[in-house]
Amino acid sequence: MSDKAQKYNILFVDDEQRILTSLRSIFRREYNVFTASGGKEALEVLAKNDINVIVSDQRMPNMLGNELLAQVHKLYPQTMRLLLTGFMDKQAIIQTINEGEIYRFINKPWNNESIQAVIKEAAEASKITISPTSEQAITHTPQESAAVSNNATAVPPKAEKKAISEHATLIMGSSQSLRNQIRQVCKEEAIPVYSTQSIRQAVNAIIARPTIGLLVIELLSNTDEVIHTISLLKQKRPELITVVLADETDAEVAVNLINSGQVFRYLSKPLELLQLQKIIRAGFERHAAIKSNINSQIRFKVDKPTNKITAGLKELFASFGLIKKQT
Amino acid sequence: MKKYTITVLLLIAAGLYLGYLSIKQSATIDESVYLKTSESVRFLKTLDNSINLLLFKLNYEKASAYTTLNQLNDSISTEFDELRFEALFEEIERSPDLDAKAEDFGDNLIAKQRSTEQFVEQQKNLRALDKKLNRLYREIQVLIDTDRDNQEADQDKTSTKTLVEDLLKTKINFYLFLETLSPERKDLLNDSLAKLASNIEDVEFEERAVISEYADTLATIITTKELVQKYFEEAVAASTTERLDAFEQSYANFHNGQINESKKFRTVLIIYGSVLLAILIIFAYLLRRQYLNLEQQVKDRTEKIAVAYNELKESQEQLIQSEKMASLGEMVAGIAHEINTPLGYVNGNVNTIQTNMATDFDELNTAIRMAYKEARKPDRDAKKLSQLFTTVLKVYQRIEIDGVMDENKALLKDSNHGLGEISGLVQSLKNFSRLDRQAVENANIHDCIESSIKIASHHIKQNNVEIEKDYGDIPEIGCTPSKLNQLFLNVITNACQAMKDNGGTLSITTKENKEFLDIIFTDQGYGMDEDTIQKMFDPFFTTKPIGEGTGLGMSISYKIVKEHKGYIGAESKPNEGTSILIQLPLNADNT
Repeated sequence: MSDKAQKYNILFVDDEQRILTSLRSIFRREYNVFTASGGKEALEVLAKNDINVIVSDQRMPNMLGNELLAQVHKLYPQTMRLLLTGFMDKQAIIQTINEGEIYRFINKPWNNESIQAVIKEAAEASKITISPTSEQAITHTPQESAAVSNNATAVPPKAEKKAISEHATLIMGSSQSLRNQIRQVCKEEAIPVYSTQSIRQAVNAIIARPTIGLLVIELLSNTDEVIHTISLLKQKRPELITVVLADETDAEVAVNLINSGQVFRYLSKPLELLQLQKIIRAGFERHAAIKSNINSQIRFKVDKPTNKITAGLKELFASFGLIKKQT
Repeated sequence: MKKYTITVLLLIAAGLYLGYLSIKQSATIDESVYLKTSESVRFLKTLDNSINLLLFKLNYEKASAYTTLNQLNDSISTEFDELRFEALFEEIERSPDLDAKAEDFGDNLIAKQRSTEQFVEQQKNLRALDKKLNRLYREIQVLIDTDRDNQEADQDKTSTKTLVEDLLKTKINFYLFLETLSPERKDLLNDSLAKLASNIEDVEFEERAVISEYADTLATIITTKELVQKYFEEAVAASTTERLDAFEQSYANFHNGQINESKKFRTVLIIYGSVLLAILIIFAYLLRRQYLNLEQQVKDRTEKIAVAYNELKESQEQLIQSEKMASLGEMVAGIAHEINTPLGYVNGNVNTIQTNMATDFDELNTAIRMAYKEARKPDRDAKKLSQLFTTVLKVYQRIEIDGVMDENKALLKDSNHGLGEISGLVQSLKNFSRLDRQAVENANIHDCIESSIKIASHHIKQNNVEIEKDYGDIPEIGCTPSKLNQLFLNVITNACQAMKDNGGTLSITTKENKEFLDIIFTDQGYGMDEDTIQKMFDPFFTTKPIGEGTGLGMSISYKIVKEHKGYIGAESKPNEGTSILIQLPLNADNT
């Protein structure tokens, strides 16, 4: 029995008491386990305790898991958020990514060892502070949020614009209208934009230009390849922010994008210009935050992709020295 | 179509106009009028000739048919007036030429009659003078004879002889004059008269007076005769015949003109008729062609409709299938979620127990085994044994304090419960589908409702719905349970969705009602208005947003109830709730 003060606090939220019992019995030795049977109760617990990790069920009466996590993201950005779900509710999952900035999805039924590993990582990551993005801090005015961002990243206020312009955006995709939209937004923000058509070009560009901080990928048919690419890039360049756009979002893809790629946003097209502008701004803020405090990358650590990486992709990454060549 | 109508209207108008003209025309062209007129003209000619003949007779013979002449004149006037003012009045009005000719003839006729009258008068005078002359001549004759008797002695007396000669000569000359009325003879006569006058001195007074009177009378006769001749000539010269001819000719021209016009008109009519016929033939042709076209079109359309109908039927079947698949998918997802929750904790619990067993209990086990081993040794070391027992005790104490034993117990209990849940769900799935049972069987409706509730449990939980059951004592009925399950699931799911905002109670009542079994589902949801109730069983009618419902659920439910020879109806008030009544016959064969 080690000192209780050193234990992380984790909160499980589920309307089924037996689930809570089961989870508690798994984690009670290493963690201080809190439980709540609903969203309202969970928020009460969060208000009273400094919770490192929250694991919520999706389907609960009164408040859904994604709604709870979105609130937690806003109110307690330090708390690592995980969603426990037994049923693929597409809309909820997408919302959890974009509004809850979730760390992992955990499928029911879970595997004790992997859930322990994930929660351990999450708990450790929760110790690293990360500045909220301006989008997150909606109560602040742009100046204030800039100030918050400056304080956190220790960049002088006047250089802020320059700091952003040191970064660049990379687009991978074929849709002309989308490229034009992004160019327009980045022009206003004075961010250089590079455009590529294939994964090879994109990887090449990212390796060659360390200034690229934001990657916008249009998801077409090569879903697995894209997820693997994001995962590998994220392992090598944790500060790289990824925004994935698709004609139609998909629940399973969303889960993989988070668990293996820690994508910043997963959105369905078409996008409004204002929305895109907000996302790009927030993405660069996040990028700057990770870059300024390299330890914070563990908050965005990715799992290795579950399915096999294709040979072509392996070769590509090997040629850039991102992964070891197989002998 | 409009074009045809206009054409037909124009043709009808033209036809009506031509008809009108034709009636008018046939009134004017009357052959009998022509014949009558011709006859009348001929009669006039005859009369005129008769008058002329009579005039000659009167003039050159001793005839005195004045009355006849008058009668003839009257006749001719009457006839002409008749012709002019009755028979041919309109024609004369219309034709200026005919009018002029008639006027001409009329004027001439009047002039002739006037001359004739004069002639008759003078003729009468002449006759009277003639008589007088004859009388005077006889007197002279007597006187001369007397004289001659008186002067028989005096035969030498030449004066009487001369007188007689002169008288004779005069008489001869007079007749000669009368014969020709030539100026030479008149001169001769005048000479004779002058001679007679010059020789008159020699005769006696009595004779002289008579002779003088004779001579005077003679002179008057000459004048009168000349007048008579003049009037006669005038009368005869009045060329009534020619004028009558001219009139007749003019009338004939007019008549021919009319006939020509009517011929022209007839031609126009024939042309009109031909055109009409041609157009009608064209119309008939067009109509026929259209008819044929129409037939083809109808055939084409019918084929298209048949194809469309088949497609529709197919797509309806597909839709029903996809509705089935959608509700099946939803059901599977719901069940998966329902199973996942117990599966989640059972799985977690088993893992935890395993871990507990692997760590704490393994340690305890090892310690006990070692102690046991040591205890069984013949040369057992009491100290070592005591140490080993102390370890066992320590481990046991630790486990005891940690609560691992109780935990395991609790986890096993929960797992047991979870497995019960899962098998319950699987059982209800089995009951729900009834794939392993016969289609029609005697079933307890309550079982059907229960398995439907179980299947819909995630809907019920998610929408915070309480189920309240009021089951009556009802017999089993012959039915197709798998279909009834589908029906009940539909109704329960709809009720839950209607209460998704505020939750509520769904009460389910069953009771026997004469030959029927009543099943009533009453929710506290949105409710429906009259309009929605009217349409709720229509295929594809849905109040859910696009993409969330196919609108076939209730229509399929309706079909299921009808297949069971039952009744389904709804009562509802907006914002208060809906009550669905399902009536199933207790004995389906008798109803």
